[in-house]
Amino acid sequence: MSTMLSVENVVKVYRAHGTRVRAVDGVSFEVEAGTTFGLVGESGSGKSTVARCALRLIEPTSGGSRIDGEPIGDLRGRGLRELRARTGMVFQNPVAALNPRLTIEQSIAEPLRTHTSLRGRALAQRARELLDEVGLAAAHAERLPHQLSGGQCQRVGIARALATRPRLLVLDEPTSALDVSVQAQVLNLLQELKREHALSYLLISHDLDVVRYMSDSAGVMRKGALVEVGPASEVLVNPRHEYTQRLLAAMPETPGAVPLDELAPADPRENRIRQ
Amino acid sequence: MTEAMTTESATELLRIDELEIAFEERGSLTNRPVRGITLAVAPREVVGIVGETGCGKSLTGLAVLGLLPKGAVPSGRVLIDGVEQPFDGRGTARGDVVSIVFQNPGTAFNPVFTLGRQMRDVVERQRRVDGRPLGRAGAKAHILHYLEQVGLPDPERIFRSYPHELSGGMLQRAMIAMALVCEPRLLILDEPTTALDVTIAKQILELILSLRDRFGFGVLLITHNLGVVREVCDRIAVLYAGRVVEAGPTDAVLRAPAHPYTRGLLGALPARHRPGQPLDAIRGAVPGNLLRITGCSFRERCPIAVEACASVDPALEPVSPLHEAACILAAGVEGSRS
Repeated sequence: MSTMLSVENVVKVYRAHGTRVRAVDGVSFEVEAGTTFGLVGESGSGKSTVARCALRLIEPTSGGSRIDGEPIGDLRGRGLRELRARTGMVFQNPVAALNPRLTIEQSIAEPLRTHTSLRGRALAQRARELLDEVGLAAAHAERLPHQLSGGQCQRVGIARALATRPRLLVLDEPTSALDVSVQAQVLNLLQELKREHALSYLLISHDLDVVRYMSDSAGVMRKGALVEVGPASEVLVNPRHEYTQRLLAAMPETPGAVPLDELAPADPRENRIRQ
Repeated sequence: MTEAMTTESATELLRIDELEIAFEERGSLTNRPVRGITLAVAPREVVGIVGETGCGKSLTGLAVLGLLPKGAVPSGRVLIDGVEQPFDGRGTARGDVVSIVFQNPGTAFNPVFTLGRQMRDVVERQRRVDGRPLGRAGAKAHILHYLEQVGLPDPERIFRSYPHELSGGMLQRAMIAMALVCEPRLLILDEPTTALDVTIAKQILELILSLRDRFGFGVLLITHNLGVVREVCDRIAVLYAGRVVEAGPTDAVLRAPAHPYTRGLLGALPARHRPGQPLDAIRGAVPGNLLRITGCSFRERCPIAVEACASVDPALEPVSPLHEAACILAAGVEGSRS
């Protein structure tokens, strides 16, 4: 298996009111191609900041990342634009993430205009293809975001992220704003798309159940640092770090949940604990 | 209506009877998001209202407080201690008997006043000793007492703080203190932990239960989280499209859900699935407008709907002595109708 994304010792320092805040404090992990890496942690732990640094949506203070083996820290201009096309991002609040004045089709066509030479009928056709792929009808193309439900808007967000046929998607709390029944539809869609397009996901969520269900590997962040990382079936089932154990204990128990000991691998490998 | 959701009327703290809420714009009805909700809460009891966005949960809470938004046309009855409450809020038990805690503690407070000032406004308006206001010092002492009761360290400092100076968890504790200063007998909690991190959410739920034990108030908990319901509620009412579609003791409903919607909500939870196994999503979405619903409102999303579901609007029927569901197939599916 090759490594799709390799995050190497990323540090992000913000200055606020004369003090320096280490929002991300030396985080490293790898996302293998075709797998999902789940990043969990409480609000303010630095999950989103790491992911944004990893794609250079914001510049890390130090450290950096490789995508498909290629260091991206020095990319400029065209190289950086190509990087944007090879990666996609799905945001938490699907309605706010769309331009309220663009129709759904225009929203989906936007990344295609930026990154491809498709225009006119070919552009419209690709936009319709994407709509279909995320389970929306052609009738949705002419609507505005406020005329769609939250779940439908998130499908549009996913279509936008997929427009340039990226191989890596960052999913930043993709279902936190959705009801459970709709969350299930969107998670199923993400799983299907991942299989069909051999995608790799970096999934950010505070919901341990979602991350455990979706992820092959997982990392747990606290105060800017990764405190535990390893296979999801160990980190989120049988955690070694005291903080992960505390998070797991605080989750309300889902009625009828699959017992955790049935999710643990028969022969657990060592998962690494970081300081 | 059956008696399953009704406790002895003498011990009823809150009773909502056939509550309907429609919305009116320029003389014509535009929607009817609440279409007949009946439920009761006894003292010390924690009753959960569960359902997805747009099913009428929050409106039901607001109706109890007489805080319905403009354009709302309510009908039915809300009784507190057996006394019918007006829907327009004047002369209601709001403040004296009922308090509410909102979802987002960060926006529920006024950002430009200290917490102490905002809580004093409530106390000075609501609390009387021998028919006379408490006075500044008295009000402050009263508030400090409750800030301490909700486990906030250094109540004096909290009293002088502005909302932005506190974390989300501390603000939610302050919000609960503000709800408690009037010593309510019924506390309505509208998604009290949804905006909080799990470790903080757990502490808040534990706090609510311990305060309930200490003060003996009843709780109406509005939430979409079935895990939260399982941890704290004695009974639950599952709402769909403005109706109670299933109600009963929490254990009975979650262990043996009789309505296909309740089963769907449970089946969609990732924790009930092994990684890689597709989630049992409920297809489609909640109907946007409920004005012209005929038959069962869930039938278009229902995996077991039959022809009769298009014409029959099912009422709540018992599936076991305390557990009821509004589905013509509930008895057949569960095989538990007695």
